[in-house]
Amino acid sequence: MSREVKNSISNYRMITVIAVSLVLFLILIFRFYSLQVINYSTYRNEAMGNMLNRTDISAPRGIVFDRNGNKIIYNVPCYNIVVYPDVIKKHPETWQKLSNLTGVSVEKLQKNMKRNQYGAYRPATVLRNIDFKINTIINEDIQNYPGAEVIFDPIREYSDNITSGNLLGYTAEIRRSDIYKYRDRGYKLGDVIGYDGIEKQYEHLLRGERGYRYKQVNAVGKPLNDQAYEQTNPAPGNALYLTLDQQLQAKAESLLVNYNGAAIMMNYQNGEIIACVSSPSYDPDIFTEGITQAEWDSIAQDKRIPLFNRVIRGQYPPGSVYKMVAAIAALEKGTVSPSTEYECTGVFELGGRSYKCSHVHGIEDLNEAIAHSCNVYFYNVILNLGVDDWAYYAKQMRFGIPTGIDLPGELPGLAPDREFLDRQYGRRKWWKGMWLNMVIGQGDVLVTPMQVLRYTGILATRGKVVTPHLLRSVHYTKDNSIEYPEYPVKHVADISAHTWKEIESGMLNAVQSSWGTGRTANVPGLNMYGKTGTAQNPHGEAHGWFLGYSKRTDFPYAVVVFVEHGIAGSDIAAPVAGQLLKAYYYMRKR
Amino acid sequence: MKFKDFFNLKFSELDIPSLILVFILTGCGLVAIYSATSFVGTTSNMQYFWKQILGIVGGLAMFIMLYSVRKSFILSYAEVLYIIGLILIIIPFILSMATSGTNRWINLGDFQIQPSEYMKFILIIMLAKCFSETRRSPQNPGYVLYPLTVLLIPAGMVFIQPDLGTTFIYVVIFASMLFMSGYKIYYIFMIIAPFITMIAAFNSWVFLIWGLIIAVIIFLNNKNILFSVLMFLLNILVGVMTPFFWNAIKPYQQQRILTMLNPRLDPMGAGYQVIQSQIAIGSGGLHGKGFLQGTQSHLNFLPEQHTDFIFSVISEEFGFIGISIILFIYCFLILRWFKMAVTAKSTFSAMLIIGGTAALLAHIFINVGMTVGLLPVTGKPLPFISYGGSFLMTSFGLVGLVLNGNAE
Repeated sequence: MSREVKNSISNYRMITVIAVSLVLFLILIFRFYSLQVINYSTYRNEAMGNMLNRTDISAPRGIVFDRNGNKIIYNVPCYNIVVYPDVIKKHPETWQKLSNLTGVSVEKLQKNMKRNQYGAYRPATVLRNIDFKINTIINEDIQNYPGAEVIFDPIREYSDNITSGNLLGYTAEIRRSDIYKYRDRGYKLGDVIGYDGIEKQYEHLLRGERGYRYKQVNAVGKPLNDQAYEQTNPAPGNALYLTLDQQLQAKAESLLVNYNGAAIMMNYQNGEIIACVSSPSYDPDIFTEGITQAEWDSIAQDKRIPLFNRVIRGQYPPGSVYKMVAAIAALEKGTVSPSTEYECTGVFELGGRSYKCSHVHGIEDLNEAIAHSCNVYFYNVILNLGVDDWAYYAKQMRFGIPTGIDLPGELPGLAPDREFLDRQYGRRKWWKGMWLNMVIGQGDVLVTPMQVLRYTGILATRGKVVTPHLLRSVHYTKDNSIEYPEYPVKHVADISAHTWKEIESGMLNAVQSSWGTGRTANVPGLNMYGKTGTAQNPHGEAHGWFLGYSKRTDFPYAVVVFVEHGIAGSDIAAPVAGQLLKAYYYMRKR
Repeated sequence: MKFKDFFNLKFSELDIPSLILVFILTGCGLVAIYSATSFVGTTSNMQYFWKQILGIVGGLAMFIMLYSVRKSFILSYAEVLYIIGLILIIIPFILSMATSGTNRWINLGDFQIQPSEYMKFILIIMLAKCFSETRRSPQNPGYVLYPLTVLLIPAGMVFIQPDLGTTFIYVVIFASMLFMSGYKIYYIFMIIAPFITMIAAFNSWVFLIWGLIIAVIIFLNNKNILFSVLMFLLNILVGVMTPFFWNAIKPYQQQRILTMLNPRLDPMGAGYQVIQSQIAIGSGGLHGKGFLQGTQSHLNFLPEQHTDFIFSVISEEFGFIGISIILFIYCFLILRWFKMAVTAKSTFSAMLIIGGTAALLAHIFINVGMTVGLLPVTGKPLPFISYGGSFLMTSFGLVGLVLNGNAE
């Protein structure tokens, strides 16, 4: 050590101190390296998230057309008044000005703001769908309304020609109670979503993709300026072309306007639903503008339950329209031949009970029994046939199975078999008298009108099982491509041509002969086949059914009309069905 | 008495590189303050910028004063200065009893002085005097008693204010000087040991193991049996008493101590600051976002960005490269100053250099460690760079002491 020692500082200790200092600086440098180089992207994203405030631009929902290209569901411009809570707080006089202009009380406006507000710097809607005139007044004098703004937001509008709310569905802001179900799919409170019907079924196609507007904000979330830092435009929802014919739908609505029931028409060759009415219905427009409690109550508490789509959710006893099941089964199993005759005395005795018929039909063969809708003939049929074969053919006619129509909430109905009876009543605790009820479409048998329509299609095509559907094509907005969805077509188990001929002959006579129960449905020239049904029920008058179809190859349409408490099928249901087919025949001709 | 008896403006001996580097740092500080106080949408608030320049002028005055003051003068008046310093620390303390306000500052109209800042100089001078006098040998354990007393009186006062950061700085000044004085490492260990015992006492297993370690070390160094046994018993006593003491204080006081040690327990307060600071630093990346382009600072996410968190602003705008340069300058200065102690002309001068350099190093590490989330948020600014005239005067004063020690 060559240095001149003038103090008592030890070199070794000095080296220690310098080493410690170096280590401290190395720790800091490494920490910066870790933050700024290794984890750079994490922190950059966090800083971006800090500085950018994202607001949504809602996408216009897709437009829905009928089969002829008429708009059924579309969007109309709507002007909403929004306020910026932070600004209007400093300018309370704006409230009074808005109130004077719109005629809505200040309290009500403020209540709306509180309800729709999230964050002090995000606009909160205080009044929806204002008059265009008010929009102009505010926009021309916007400086006079500090903190308020009119924004454009498309809303849903439904064709005025039809009111089938329970078919089309409606749109509304997502309910708080539902949000947990949809959050995974990117929905959030304040979003509009399709409820019920087509709007719900095809929500994924109609919805579109929302756009985003990014604004730079400071630490308390206040935007720095009005300009968007970045913006992605929304992609509108896709257009849907339905199989419905708006004009026929309107006609069907008008025919059923006084009844509770259903009227459906389908192309039985491909399953396209042309008209689908559940009466009564409601006007879906009332939901889009924000339904009031009173309006909602009047719909929800209506005893005629307009929200209920009877076509797919109404499960009713089918009555005599179900008799063809037994007829087919018996012909196929050979327990009945076309010449088999039974005598109807108006009443049938079994096990000490009597089972009635509507008339005293005398001696009849199968053809007459179908056309007359004789119960006693079918009591004899089922006793010789047995419940298992009957149930097998009911399954072949796809009863007890949902039709798979593209509507939400379809119910399956009930096609009883031995297993069901064992389960329901206990093994051997049920008796043959139940068969007698079931064979004429009473007792435990339950069907939806849509199932009866599919069944009508099976009868009309001699066994082709189509999937009833409402969506014909999707026109994608992204690439302008068109998709025609394919719907499954199946076939029932082999049924001989003889059997079909016999059944058809009965249905032909039911409509086209002067003594058939469905003669009120007949439309000369359409070569109509059909069957009435009158279903007893414990709630009052019987339900009236009619199923029918035109055999013309250029007019392959099947129709089902159901009227709750419509007395006999021949009284209301059959004439309505006839008028529908006739109306559509002439619409098509034109 | 003449001016020359007290001061000697020995400019020829001034270490120019140190001064240049310090001015580079203050220049960086001005740039960062300009950026940190100009928010998007408003014009830059030049008020801070000019006030900082005023602070630099004040700092220079303090530097010249402490650089040129004669060591013979401060040696003979060290005790007087020390007592004046203690009285000044007590004054705001007494004032606060009446007003129940914060008790660190003395308000003199527009001008505020914080006595605990000036106590740093006085403590360095006083301790340098203690450690350079040869009344007792550093081989004697009793050597430490007088300097320790000199430390504990102001440190205790500052601690109960409570100002953990300043207390820590005092302790660092003392520890570095004690270490360099040649005091036996074994004795230094015995002084530190009770504090570790306090923490160890919260877990009986840790306490047991720590006790064994102490016993082994004492056994290996048992040159002074009485001292060793006494120290061992003291440690055990401290350990046993700590839980009782901890349980005796009120829960809100416990909470306050815990929050002081770990700010993340208070996520909306100190925790928020650390998180936002880390985002600012990390998002700066390698090159930084550019001057005035920092989003974290300009959109006001960073708290205290022109004072305590100024380093986060620099990190965000100039990135890892800019930060490395500044840290390198700091490191270079610290090492250069420590090395000056080796060649100092007297032990007293060497001690002045060590104390001043250690104080600056502690400030840098406490502040930067806080901005990167390694150390608790103590609210200590960064020497030469942070906004604030009072602290600039402290920093420049410390450089003055160091370079004074190096001169003559």
